[in-house]
Amino acid sequence: MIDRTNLIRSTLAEHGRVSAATSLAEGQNLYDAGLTSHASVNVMLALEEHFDVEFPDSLLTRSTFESISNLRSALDTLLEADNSGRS
Amino acid sequence: MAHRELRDQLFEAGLLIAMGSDGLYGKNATFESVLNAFDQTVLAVGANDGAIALEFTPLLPRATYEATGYLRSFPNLAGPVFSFVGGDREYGELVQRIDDGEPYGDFLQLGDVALAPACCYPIYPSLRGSLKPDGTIIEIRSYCFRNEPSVDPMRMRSFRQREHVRIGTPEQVIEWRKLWLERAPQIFEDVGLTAREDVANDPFFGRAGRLMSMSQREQELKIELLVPVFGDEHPTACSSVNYHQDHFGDLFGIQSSDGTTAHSACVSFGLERCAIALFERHGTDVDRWPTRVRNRLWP
Repeated sequence: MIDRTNLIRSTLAEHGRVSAATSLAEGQNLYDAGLTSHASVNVMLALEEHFDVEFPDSLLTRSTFESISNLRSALDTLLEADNSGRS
Repeated sequence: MAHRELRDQLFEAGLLIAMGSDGLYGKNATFESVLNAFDQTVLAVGANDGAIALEFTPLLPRATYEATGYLRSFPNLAGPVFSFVGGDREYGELVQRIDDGEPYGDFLQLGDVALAPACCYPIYPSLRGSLKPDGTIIEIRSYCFRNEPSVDPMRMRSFRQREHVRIGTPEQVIEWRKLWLERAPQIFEDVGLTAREDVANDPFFGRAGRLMSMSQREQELKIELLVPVFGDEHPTACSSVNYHQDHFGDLFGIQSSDGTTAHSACVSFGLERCAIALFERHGTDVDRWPTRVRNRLWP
């Protein structure tokens, strides 16, 4: 299984135009690293497609996309809810 | 007052002229006189700012249009221009469809221009390169198009915006925005209108748009001046002050003199909305408006 954090990093680099995404600390501010609002939408859409999930309204905030660790915990929450829903 | 009721009143007074499609209206000389007087009032307030006055067409090259991100953020409001491209054979079929009242959209092709949705868009490509140390201020007015048909006369599809645009360093732009957040409510007060300030967002499309809207609100990038034309509970935005950060500077390669990507902000007045707010507040007979208001509009 591909590590979720690594997938977030590569998505940020590819869809979020955050060129340093692979080397950033997990808690580092992504907006300071160059993530724009438009690019955060691209990141959201790419993650949604990859994991076949939908970010609920409650997660559509700036803070969700503020750091790799925030994105990771949002994804974890989404995927756990998804799994428990299916079982 | 309900939306349709106000529109009917404006029709009856001859101020607006129905054109057969919601959101498209003719205006009479009185309406235009009020609209232009309000516009002149705004211009007078910024008269000593050293702004450069520019005039552009209400059509944008499609390349500029797409670069601004408008089509991506507001596809439902967009107005790209389509025209017939074909030979005599296709022309014959096209005419047949028109005569039969059948849809003919498949005969039209996307062209290389689009109706401008905001009057400041054409200026950014013209500023590519390095700004002077003071940056720049531009004043501009144009017809804009947003495809949102409504019986609300305050929501036109084809309308005029007056904008002042500041481009420079973040400090210059933020200071200028602060100035207009003081000036704009005063302009409304001076003509007898009460404007309330509120944080707002643009109507970005769909779920992706919700993230854009939340982000815009959290950063307080858009401040609207709301006038209670239809009562205090649902006031209408007649003006907005927008901080774009480095969005346009980045897209169009504009740098401050220190080499950093330029920031920009604009203050925008929806001129038809401002005129209608005045008619709603003071009545359709301009001769009977309060002297104080008349003197402010026609000094």
